[in-house]
Amino acid sequence: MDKRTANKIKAISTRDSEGPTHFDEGETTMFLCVSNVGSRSRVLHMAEVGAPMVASNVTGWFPIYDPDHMRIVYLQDDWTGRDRLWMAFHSHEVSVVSSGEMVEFEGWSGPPLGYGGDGGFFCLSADERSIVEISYSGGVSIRGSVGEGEKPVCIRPGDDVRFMLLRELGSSEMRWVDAGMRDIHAAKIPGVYAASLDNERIYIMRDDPHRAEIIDLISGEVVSSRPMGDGETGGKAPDWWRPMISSRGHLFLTFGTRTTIISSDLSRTIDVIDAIHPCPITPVMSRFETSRVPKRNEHRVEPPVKEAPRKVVIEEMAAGEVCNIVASPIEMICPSSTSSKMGRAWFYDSWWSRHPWLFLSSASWRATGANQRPVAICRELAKMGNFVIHYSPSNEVCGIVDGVLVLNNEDIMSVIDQIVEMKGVVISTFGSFSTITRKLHDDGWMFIYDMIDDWDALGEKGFFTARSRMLEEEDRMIGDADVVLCSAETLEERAKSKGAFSIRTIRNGGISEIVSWNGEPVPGMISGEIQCVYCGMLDGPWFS
Amino acid sequence: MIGGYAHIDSPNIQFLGEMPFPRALRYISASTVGIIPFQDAKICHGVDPIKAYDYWSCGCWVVATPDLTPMRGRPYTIFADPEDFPEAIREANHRRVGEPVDPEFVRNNSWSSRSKDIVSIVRSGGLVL
Repeated sequence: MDKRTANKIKAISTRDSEGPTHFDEGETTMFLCVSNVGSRSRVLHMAEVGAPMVASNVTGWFPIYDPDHMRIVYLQDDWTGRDRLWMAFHSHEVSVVSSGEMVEFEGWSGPPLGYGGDGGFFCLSADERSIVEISYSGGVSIRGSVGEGEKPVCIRPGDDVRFMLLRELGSSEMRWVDAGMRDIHAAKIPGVYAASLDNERIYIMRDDPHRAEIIDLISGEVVSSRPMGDGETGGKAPDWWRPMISSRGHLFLTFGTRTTIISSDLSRTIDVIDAIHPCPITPVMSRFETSRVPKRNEHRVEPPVKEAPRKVVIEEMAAGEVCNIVASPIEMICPSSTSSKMGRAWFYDSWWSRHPWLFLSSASWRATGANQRPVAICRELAKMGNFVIHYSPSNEVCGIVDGVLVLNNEDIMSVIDQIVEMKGVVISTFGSFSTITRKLHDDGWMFIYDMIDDWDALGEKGFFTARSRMLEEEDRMIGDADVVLCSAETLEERAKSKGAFSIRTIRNGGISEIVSWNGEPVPGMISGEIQCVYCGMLDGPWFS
Repeated sequence: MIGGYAHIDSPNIQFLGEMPFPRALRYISASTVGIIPFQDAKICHGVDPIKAYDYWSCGCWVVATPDLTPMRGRPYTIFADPEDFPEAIREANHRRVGEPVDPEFVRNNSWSSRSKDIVSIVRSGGLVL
């Protein structure tokens, strides 16, 4: 694992109640990982630590869920198939992966991911390229893996990955461990009721009296402390998996139906949110005695309670928060969009502080191997840490792919309603999105038209329908655009003739490093004196 | 040949079908010459073929038809009319040994580099990213 990737994995917190932690041999390209880990529902702790948390829940033996709030996904034997998994995680603010029907992945050495009905399988973060999962109960408690549609690979002992482990809440032992589960640091913090970890600090709730504290992990000293009044707690004890820490360091403290958000230094209350009913995944054992570590089969399972959805209007939430705290199944309602299905949970917390990049493309994300110009540029911009959206009416699926929010018709307008004030960059690569570009441009967005082809020439060959309308719209877009990018110098003339205000050439590109052949025969490939390749469509009007 | 849509019955040509891009790179990197047999001067006039960058990234030289005017002046590239393609491919295969594709060239012509350029353009437009 390269250092850059490793650094993104800031912490994992878990409780290992049923056996040693285990890591498989192998390599990992994990770039996205936050997790909670528990077994047989005994998730004692969950922390959001600077990377996106997509979903998290207890599963398997402890089936408390409300189907109106969560998406249950039963994994099939092709679970590493790209769509099936990551879509589920981004299709709702709370997604659940159940191990109920889990089948061991063929050819993947190591212990199975879970057993039917008794899994404790946690798939916590997934996109088209990586699947991060943590499993499983009964002997193995933590395991980070990624799959690329083929064989998953795992974190290897000795990798430069560090985990924060809340090992035994009952005895309040906090540990830093490396990927080989070797101790880096351990500390005992007595009297903890509920705690969360980030890289250096422990955020603690004490119950009697209610008090929030920050403790330095290394020194064990209290950095900050404050009492929590009844207005913030509702007079109730905190839920045992709280507090949660957002990537901005804000604390989310849940007391039954009330969630209080306080600043990272504990100095001020940012917001208090009352829900209609308790979080559906609130465990039955909502109060956890610190002196007692639960034993297997001590849980009492009650049937899920069917209640009205918990609704929170976005304007009432703290700006920039909430979206990443998907473990709390809040149904987001965007008042400005009556048809909105999109919640802020689609957006990573950090995105809200950035100018978005919105790409409007006629080609789907997956077109020609998911390597078209808009897709490639989206990926690179996302790698730089930008908030990037790829919209195409042709996108077959929606979700976060390679760090990019990929959308189709159903979602784009509700997203625009939410991001319009953020004043970003909208880039259109085709002349059929003028409604969107004009709205955003009028609202102060920078508008770039990306001329990737000579659409006049392609239109003459019947390459696309509604030719005259599209070309008229393209003319208008070119005239409106702040900048017209051309993928070839030869397109500059065309842009000029259509009244472009500012023209810049940005050629196409490729991957940034030489891909070397290792000399081994490629399966199914014929060989000859000279190995010649053509990669592309064979039926375009341009193909000779 | 990677991609779908057509079949030609020839023992020297193999159609591998459509495949994800990372997998296609394995086949390209096992090759020495990438071809871009495009026609139609008007269409080609505005095309900067992405496949050329893929070929270069895999260390291949490129043989292209003259209609691809945007590729003129590019390194590791030989232009040839269709009837001259076999000879041009042999030449490219030969020259590849003495003039391998420079990794610096690949880096400078990557999507990463292009994206940085776009960010610069946006910044120069006054948007603080």
